[in-house]
Amino acid sequence: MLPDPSAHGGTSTDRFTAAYRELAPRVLGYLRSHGVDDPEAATNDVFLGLHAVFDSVAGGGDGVRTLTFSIAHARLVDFHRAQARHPRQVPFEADDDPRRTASAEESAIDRVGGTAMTLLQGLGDDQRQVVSLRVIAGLSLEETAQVMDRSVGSIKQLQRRGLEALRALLAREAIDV
Amino acid sequence: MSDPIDLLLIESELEHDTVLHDLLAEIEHEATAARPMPSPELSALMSPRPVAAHRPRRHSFSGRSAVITGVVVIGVLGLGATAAAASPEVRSAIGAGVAAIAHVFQPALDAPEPAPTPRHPAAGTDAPSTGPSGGPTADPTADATGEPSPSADATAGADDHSGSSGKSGDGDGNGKGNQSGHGNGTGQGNGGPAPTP
Repeated sequence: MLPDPSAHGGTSTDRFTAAYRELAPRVLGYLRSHGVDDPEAATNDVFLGLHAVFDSVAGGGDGVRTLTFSIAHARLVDFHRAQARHPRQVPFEADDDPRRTASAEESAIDRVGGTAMTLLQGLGDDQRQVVSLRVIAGLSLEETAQVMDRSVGSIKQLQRRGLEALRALLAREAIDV
Repeated sequence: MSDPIDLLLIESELEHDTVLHDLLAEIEHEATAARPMPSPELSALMSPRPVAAHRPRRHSFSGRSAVITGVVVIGVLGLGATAAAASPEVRSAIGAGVAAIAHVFQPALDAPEPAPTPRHPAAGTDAPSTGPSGGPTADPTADATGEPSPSADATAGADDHSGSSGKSGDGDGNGKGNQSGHGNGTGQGNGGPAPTP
């Protein structure tokens, strides 16, 4: 359970450190699932922003979690906007070429593990954000609506469609295998 | 953390889909498996004593204080030099020093200039007219022969009524001869008594 910033036990540094240990892996996974090029640096940036307002956060552990992913979501939006304005130039990597056909060994390794995050990439942006905030960040329906600045109804519709799309992708994957 | 996944499936009316449940659990496991390393700045914020984060400011402060001290010392030295220059004693001492230096170079300045070579030898008797004041040093004839010309003697005699002995040999020799009234003009310039007739 996340520490309550307004609690009297422990120093502010102790409570912030506990929040970092609990939430940093989830923030990193959330940013990775959306293709941020340097997710560790972005995660550090998120917690630096959280530290600036940590002592004034209301709502206990849920408030800290919601604020943390609100900052992470804002960083994600900034990243996609910057990437749209100035696409990042990367050297050619043969392994990343979508025209390349995987070998039999690579296909076997993919079947063993690592496919779940790949399936998540097959969703649309909004559906992927809702599913990742619910599953990876562990936010509730209302907290997800607050972070994405949308209504609860629209979030509920997006998550249902996203889950159905995931189910369809999983079924297609099973047929291919 | 399976509770959020169960809640998500219930809200979406998919609570009986175990395959989808396992898939969401696998997504959560893969996404949260990696633990990021905090940056040095973030580590300093989470350390019990975040003193290291302020050390660069201390260095900059000490450097700034050294610069301020240097400026103050230079200013004080400048004020001291200005006050000393304004003092009459210091000014007189500086004047004496300048005079001593000028005295060192005085012989070189008072050294007799080489006699100008007359452009027209026939005009040698017009020597007094060539000098600025008709003085003895401007008499090329006296320098060349040691015998003063009458016109030069008269002028030098008038100058020596004050009784000064003079310093240059030419001046003394001319002056003594004129006082005795004989005008022999030995040109020795020793300052001795005038020869008796």
